Amino acid sequence: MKNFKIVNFVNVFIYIFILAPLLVVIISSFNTAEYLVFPPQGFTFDWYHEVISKGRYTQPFWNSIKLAVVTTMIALPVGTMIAYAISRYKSRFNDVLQSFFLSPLVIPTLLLGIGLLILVSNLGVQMYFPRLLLAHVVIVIPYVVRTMIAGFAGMDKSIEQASIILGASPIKTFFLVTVPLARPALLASGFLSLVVSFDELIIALFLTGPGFNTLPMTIYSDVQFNLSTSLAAISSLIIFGTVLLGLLAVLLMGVNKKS
Amino acid sequence: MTELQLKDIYKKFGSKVVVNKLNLTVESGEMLCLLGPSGCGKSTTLSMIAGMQTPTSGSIMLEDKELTKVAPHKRDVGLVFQNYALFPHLSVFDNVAFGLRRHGVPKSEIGDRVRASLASVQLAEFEDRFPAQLSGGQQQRVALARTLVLKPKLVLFDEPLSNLDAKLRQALGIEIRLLQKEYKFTGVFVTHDQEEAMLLGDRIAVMNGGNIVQLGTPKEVYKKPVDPFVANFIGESNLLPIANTDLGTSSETMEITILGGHKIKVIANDNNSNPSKVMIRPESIEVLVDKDIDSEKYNYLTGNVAYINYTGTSYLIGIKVEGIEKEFLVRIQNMTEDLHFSDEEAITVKWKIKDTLIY
Amino acid sequence: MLKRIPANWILLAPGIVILLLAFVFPLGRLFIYSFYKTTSSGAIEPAFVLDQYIKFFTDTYYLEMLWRSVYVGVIVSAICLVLGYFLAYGIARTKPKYRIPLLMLIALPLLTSAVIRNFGWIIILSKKGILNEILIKLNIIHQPMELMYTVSGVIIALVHVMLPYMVLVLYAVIDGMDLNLEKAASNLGANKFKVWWYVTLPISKPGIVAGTLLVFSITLSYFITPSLVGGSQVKLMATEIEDQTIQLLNWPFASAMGVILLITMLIVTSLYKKALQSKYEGANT
Ligand SMILES: Nc1ncnc2c1ncn2[C@@H]1O[C@H](COP(=O)(O)OP(=O)(O)OP(=O)(O)O)[C@@H](O)[C@H]1O
Ligand SMILES: [Mg+2]
Repeated sequence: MKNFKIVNFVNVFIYIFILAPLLVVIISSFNTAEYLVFPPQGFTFDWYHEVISKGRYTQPFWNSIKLAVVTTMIALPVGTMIAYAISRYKSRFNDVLQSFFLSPLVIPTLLLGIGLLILVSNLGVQMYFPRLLLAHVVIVIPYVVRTMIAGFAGMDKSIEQASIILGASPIKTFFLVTVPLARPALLASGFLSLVVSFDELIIALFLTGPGFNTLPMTIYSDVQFNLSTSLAAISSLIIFGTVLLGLLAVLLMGVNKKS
Repeated sequence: MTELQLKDIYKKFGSKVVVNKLNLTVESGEMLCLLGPSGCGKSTTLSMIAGMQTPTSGSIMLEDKELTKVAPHKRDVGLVFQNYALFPHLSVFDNVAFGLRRHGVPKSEIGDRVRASLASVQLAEFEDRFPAQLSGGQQQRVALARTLVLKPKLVLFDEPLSNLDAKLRQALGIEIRLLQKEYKFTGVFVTHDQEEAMLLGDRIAVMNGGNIVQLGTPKEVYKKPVDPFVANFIGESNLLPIANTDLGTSSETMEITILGGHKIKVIANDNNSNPSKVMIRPESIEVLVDKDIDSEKYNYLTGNVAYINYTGTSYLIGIKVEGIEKEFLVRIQNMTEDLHFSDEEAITVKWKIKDTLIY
Repeated sequence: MLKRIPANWILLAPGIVILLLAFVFPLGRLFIYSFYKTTSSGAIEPAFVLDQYIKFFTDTYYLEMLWRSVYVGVIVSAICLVLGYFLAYGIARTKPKYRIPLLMLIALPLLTSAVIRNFGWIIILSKKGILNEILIKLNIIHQPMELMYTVSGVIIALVHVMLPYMVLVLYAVIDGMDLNLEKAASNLGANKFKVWWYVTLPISKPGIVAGTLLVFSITLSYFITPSLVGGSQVKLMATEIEDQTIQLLNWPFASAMGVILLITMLIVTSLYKKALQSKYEGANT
């Protein structure tokens, strides 16, 4: 028992270490001073007002949202189709295919960034949004594939068979039976896809240019050159948003399990 | 009339042969039980009929149609699964309506047909529930309704009762027989439980190692198992190895010696002049109480009581016979008085010569 | 015609096209570019020469940077291993109802933007930051520590970023472990530490290997932390590659550095696996 206490004692410090940077950002965001100073000078919601009502973060925020949503709209069906093919069809290439589709997780994003930059400039692709979109889809696909393969593996195959035998074509079966049964995995994939895409910085650094800023880029440059309290406010909003979205996904998954 | 015909069905998974040149004919309106040990290829055979698997070679005819060329969702075949396989996200009503909707049945008709079908499995009040809110037996009856509402010509059952407890198993088995009368389908019923096969099957096909070893009515299969495997699989049996065969005692019977030197008479069989095993069903054996010996009609064997089990409807006596490794089993039904044997007591049993089978 | 193509390949087709176009092809271009020439005026010329690699390996500035990157990767993996083991062990041995919440707490930083987490570290680590203020107030130090723009600062922030990965991998192994083994060992009279050393630790080895490999591979090419916390004072491979690409527009050299980084990652991880394997076999015989 005594040793367990030592483990727990150490762990309290590690948990503090884990949460500290998030907490200091949130605490700083209520500071009355315009620039980050410690200890805080007073308590105010002003910076949240400023961030929401006007300002430098609005356009990048919507850009990032648009990017994350469109990325998810592409990566989720494409990744689900890949996972379905690998899970439900026998092929001697399945292992190779699976490693192939997961490989963007292994190759540093940095390298993909340079490679894509070289490619798009060789091809003369000027529009920033499609450039970023394509890269984001590549980065997100492995998350979807991995989650969906796990989801399909946990599903009882005979339910899909029952559907086919009752007269539903394979395609109908997929939409009427497989998709509803895979809902928890789909929710998890969608959540991961949105978050990973929304937070992606490196691709944007390499592939975007004037006129199209993402939120992580703007925050990144402000962290370097402009440590203001409103920066802490927008960062806190992102933290809250991510946590809320996560809770929502978990909640929806739980509801599905019961029925 | 022949409803379903399997011709030379052969199925390999990789290099492993799972169904080996299987031939089978199922008559219209009958219930045929496929009975066999785990892994002998029963489910694979059903899957091929339903279209979930494709035979490596061979053909499957339903009436005059070659089924292997028909897509699985267009075959007029129903399948009831061991684990029910209900759609967990749909209500009982929608589960049953699922197939009707896929077949383009008009909306106005669907409600009536679903309710009629649910009524036939005594689940009329349950249409709004979800599968998770039903017991195992109820779920399986929803699965039955879901299949039968489409009025398929052929219904396949893959061990539909084996997840249920013993009482329910029998009740639902009988219900399936009644439903067959009502819906007039042809059935193929897979099971590894011989009692279930006896209860449900018009005929039983005993499978082993990817092939059918015997096909016949429950009585035929029970009374005249073609080999020791079938004998052992269906019911209880005493299999005694033969030491040597003495031919020509009389024209009709021959005398053989089993291990331990015991002599036994059997009906002579021209097809099997050199048998290696004797088989006697435990329930065709009686305990010798008086001293009347009729060796023209009966075989006798003496040993010592190893154990007596009372099961409520019968006694099972295990007898240690000299020279024979396994206990010799005797099942005695409908005893009016209690058996009085103590362990190790000497006991003599007898059975009719014509009940002695040789292999 | 379409009927001839098996259904699974139809399902895979969009994914294969996207990955070929936007993953395989660009990485191929990167590899080819690493053999291009950069003229003295900075123009890029197609060629097949080793100029870029020679430039890298003949300049101690870059060699030191590569060494620093590997060193930081190793240190971060080691610290993550120790901290992560404590956490994973604690969670696996706590009451079941606390496990999911604790795991979610650990995974939470993983899901929140890495830029923001590093922002948090800047607030904590800077000269007038929270850590220095608190330590001075408590009279533990008298001069503020220099943590921003130092290797130590980078390591602290990197450990924070990588720790969740380590915990999740280790937890999967420790959680699957049979508790009875530990009980049996302590019944035989071994003290807690001995039980852990001889029973728990060897069984959790697959998790330790997988976790450290994962953390090392991610750390080696991790950009955000070195860039924000390290700045231009602590140059690592990742930040230099970004500089070469975006500031200096020397894509061939950046490509070559990328290839070198990837190969380094492969070499270190396979050496590490080999070392552990031979040790394991040695212990077995
Ligand atoms: N998809 C498959 N791939 C490889 N082997 C398989 C596959 N399906 C079944 N088998 C093998 O084929 C053999 C027969 O399987 P099958 O499911 O038909 O047996 P069964 O008679 O239904 O047994 P049970 O009573 O256990 O259900 C088994 O040895 C099984 O391992
Ligand atoms: Mg089976």
